[in-house]
Amino acid sequence: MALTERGLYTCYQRLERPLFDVLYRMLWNRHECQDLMHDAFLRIWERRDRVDAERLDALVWVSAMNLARNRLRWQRLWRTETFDAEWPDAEPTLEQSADRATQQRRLHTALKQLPAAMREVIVLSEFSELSQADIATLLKIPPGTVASRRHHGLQKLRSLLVENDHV
Amino acid sequence: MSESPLLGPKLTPPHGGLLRLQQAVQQREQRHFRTRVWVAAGVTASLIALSLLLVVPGALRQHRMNLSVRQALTATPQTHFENGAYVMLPTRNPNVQILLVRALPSRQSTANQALVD
Repeated sequence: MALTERGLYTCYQRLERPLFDVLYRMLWNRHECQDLMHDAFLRIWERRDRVDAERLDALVWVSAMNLARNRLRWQRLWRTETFDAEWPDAEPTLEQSADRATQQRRLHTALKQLPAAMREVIVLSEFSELSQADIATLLKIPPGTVASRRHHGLQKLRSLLVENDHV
Repeated sequence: MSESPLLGPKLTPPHGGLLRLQQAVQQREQRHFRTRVWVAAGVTASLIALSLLLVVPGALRQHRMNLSVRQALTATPQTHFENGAYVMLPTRNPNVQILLVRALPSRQSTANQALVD
């Protein structure tokens, strides 16, 4: 079944939040995340003749993850890492805002210390709303590897958060 | 598969993402349409130019030859046939030769015209 404009928008509405949550934990810049989502959907739209609408969600995830990896590679190469912990829509008090920024910075630092493959599994497991099998397909690894990376990744993340607090 | 407190809360994306995507898709559609129109116009113009190049020179040459024949025929008042053969008429166009041939069976004064390039 061919991809329609309406199908694309419905998919955007369906995946906007989980995709944003995952990408934000990879790039830590909300505008960059939105740009990346936009680019992923536009790329798919440009190839709509070859896109199977039944597999659209999976394709969006693959496309967005690839773009995010490219972006991270580019950031590492040019050392242009950004961190955007401000969250205007939540309307927190100044104190809450500062607290949230601190928490996000802690998490950002700890996640950055994890190997990329482990980090991707953790973030996808947490926010993508994809099943373990779907994550395995997306990352092209066996489902057992997803489970083990998630388990070990979370353990390591907890210990890193504690270690970083003591430093 | 949720470890929400560890990885922070679920977030709300910035507003206007869908609208931005819709506008971008519309713009691309319009650009594709314009591109297709320009390509079609270009192809049509090329075909017209090509057909003119093929048709016009031949038509012009034919017209010039017809004109030369008419001029030669009107410029020659009286023609005498030599033993029933033919007489060549002078023309202004070097590529045109006009031969008047006697119509033998009827012996009338009209003659057939033959053009030799």
